[in-house]
Parts: sequence; C-alpha cells; structure tokens
Amino acid sequence: MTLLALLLPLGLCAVYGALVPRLLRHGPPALAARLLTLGGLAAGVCSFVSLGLLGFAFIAQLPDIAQRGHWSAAAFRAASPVGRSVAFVALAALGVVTLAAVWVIARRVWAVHRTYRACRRMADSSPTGLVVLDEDRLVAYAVPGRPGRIVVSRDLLARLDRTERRVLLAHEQAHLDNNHHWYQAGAAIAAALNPLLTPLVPAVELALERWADEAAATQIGSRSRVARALGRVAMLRLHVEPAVPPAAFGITSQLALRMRAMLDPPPRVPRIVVGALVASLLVTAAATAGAGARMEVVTDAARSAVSCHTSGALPAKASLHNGAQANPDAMGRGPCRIPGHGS
Amino acid sequence: MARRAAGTLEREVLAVLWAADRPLTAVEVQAELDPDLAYTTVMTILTRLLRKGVVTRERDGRSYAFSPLIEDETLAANQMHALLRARRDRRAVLAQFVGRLDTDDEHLLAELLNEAQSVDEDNR
Repeated sequence: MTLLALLLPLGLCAVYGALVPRLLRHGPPALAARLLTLGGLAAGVCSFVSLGLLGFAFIAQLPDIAQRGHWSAAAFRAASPVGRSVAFVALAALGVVTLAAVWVIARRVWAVHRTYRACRRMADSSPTGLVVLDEDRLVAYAVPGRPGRIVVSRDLLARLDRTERRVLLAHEQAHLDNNHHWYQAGAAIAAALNPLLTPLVPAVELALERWADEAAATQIGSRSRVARALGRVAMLRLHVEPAVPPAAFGITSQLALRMRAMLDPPPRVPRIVVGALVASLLVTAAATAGAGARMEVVTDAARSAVSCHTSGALPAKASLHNGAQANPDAMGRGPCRIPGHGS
Repeated sequence: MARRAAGTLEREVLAVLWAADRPLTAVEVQAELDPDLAYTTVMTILTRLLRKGVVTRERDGRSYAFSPLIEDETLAANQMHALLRARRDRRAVLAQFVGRLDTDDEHLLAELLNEAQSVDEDNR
C-alpha cells in the first residue's frame, strides 16, 4: 500500500506529461498555462518527495545511519515498505533530480536577474516601455523586468499596417503584464524535478503565446485580425528575412495552431476535466503525505525495537550491534513486535 | 473598440512615429493610429512623449511634425539587444511574436491567412 502511494506521484507525472498538454491544448490559454505550470510543479514536487522517502528507506538501513538515529537497521528493513534495490535506485534518481533542479533554478533566476537589470538600465532612454531597434531584421519580443520592455525592430514596424502594429504591441504587453516568464520558469523546474514532465515545457510555451494572442484580441476587439497579423508577420519572416534558420519540427505547426485557434470560436474546457486534474493532484499529494507518515511510523517502530532490547541485560551499544548485524531476524518475532509489519 | 490605457497609447504613438520614414504631424499620427481617436488625445500623448524626451518636433508650416529621438534610444536599445543575445539569457526573454518558421508549411500559412482575411471582411 505504502509502496503504491510512493509510486503514485511517478505515475501522475507520466500522465501529466503525456496527457494533460493534449487535454488542455484547445482550452482557454490562461487557464491551461496555470493548470500546466502549477499542476506540473505540484506533481514534480510530489515525485521529488516520494523519491526522498524511498531514498530514506535505503539510507535508514545502513548500520551507521541506524546507529546515529538510534534505531535498528534490521527492524527498519523488516518493516520497510520497499526493497533495498528499489530504494537504492530511488536514491540515485533523487541525487540526479536534485542536481538538475538546483541547476535549472539557478540558471533561471540568474537569467531573469539579468533581464531585470537590462530593463533597469534602459529606464531613462525608454520611459514608454517600447524599445525600437534600428535594424533590418524582423524582431519582436518581450523582456521581463520592472517594468518590462517590448523590443521591436524598426523594419518590422514599418512593414505592418496599423492593426497589425497594435496586435503586436498588445501581444507583447500581455506577456509582460501577466508575468509569463515565471510560467516558463515553473515549467522548466517541473521538468527538472521529473523528466516525465518535459512535454509541459512546449505546452506551456504554446499556452503563453495563445494567452497573449487572446489578450491582444480582447484589446483590439477582433480575434480574426489577430490571426491575420500572425499570418502576415510569418509571411514577412519567410519572404523578407534573409535567412530563416531551419526550424525544429512542430514550431510551424504551433503558429498554425495559434492562427487556427483565433479563427475558431473562443476556447472552452469542460469543467469536469479541470476538476479531474485538480482531484488527481490532491489525491497524489495526500498519498505522498500518507506515505511520509507511514515512513515515520516504520522509523519509530525501528527505534522502539532498539529501546526494547536496551531494556534487557545488554548495554545499549551492544544491543544495537546485535540487533543490526548479529541477529537481524530476531526483531520481528520477539515481544517488541513492529506494528504494521508485513502489511 | 476597447479603451486603451495611457501607457498603451504612448507605445502605439511611438511605434507609428518609428514606422514612418519622415516626421509626422499630429493629424497624420491620428490617421495612422486610429481615426476614431480624438485629435486632442493624440496631441496629449505627443506632448507627453516630448516631455519624456523620446520624440522631437520641428516646425512644419503651421503645425509641428514629430519624429522619434533616434540617437539616444537606439544606442541603449542595441546594447540591450546585444546583451540579451547571449545564449544563457535567451530563455528568459519571452518568445518572438512569431517563432521560428519552416518554409515547408508556407502553403498552410497562406490558406490560414486567406481564411483570416475573409473572416475579417465578413465582420466589416
């Protein structure tokens, strides 16, 4: 039962990575971005905690650790919900995942720190938030900061008509107003916590672009004009840009998806899908917490196994050694029966 | 059409001035921005941009013609762009308006663009 609870977060991550991007693909993008990012982070944290618990089950069986923690390694082993080999694999995975998460978080924080600093330096020269590059390339992106900046090349501005220009500015401003860089970072961290969540990264990216598209449509009052602006800028980039770098698969289809979505009626997602996702996250979190509590019970039992033996004739230290090494099987049978053993 | 926040209008006016290849009068800015917008609103925004030091104006007959202040702005802008071009920072910058493209799908793109145009004309 406990092992099942410990493996549940891994299962949830697999489902979340494989299924949820598809479920939410055509949903309202702001909701999709939140569910993907926060749900992904929750699933990632659950899986991290469960790896931690499994790893602990391995460490707790090492004689040195058992001695330090004043419990019996053998008693722990007897009551442990997982075998040593599974626990060892989990411990190794925990190490890898911890390094990856620390690395990703550090890099993100550093990168965002740099864009914030760049925006601060621009404060005097671009009080409007719009930064125009005097360049012959078609550039348009948003730089997060307080406040953030919209960077556009003069060439692109000159080639757009007035509606397209407004769509472009509204789209980039929506990225900044809604702190989209933190969603990007959240998805990257979730993927670092559990590689099964990697598909969330492009899914969140698409949701954020769609979110900004919908925000632009609200501002200019037409969804089809946003679609047209997207198509026009794409055409410009194909024909004007001297060399469009060959793209990975799926990137063009992202643009097609965004245009398609703006031509279709406004998106909806069934409430039951949202409810099921939230419920699955809550169940997993509860199961992980339950597994943690169970691990505590097992540790306490292993601890009382030591004190039980200590109450006999042997001095504490000798008893610990006897318990841990000389007679590992004696633990489960004596008067100090471990509660829940064999469950 | 939805009302725009002051900051939004400032950026839109500035974008119009940058897009033009010559200084524009307030009337021209109004036409290029949104003919429904009041002339006084455009004038207010232009004055505010002038005070912020991002545009400059010159006499054009009986009125003023406005243009973006290039020297100051582009220097800083290019510095920022160069700074963010460093690979490790790129992931923190929010994606290009239209991401990378593959010429293979130009056909599909043209179809969607046609559809968008026809939907747009229906709405008029």
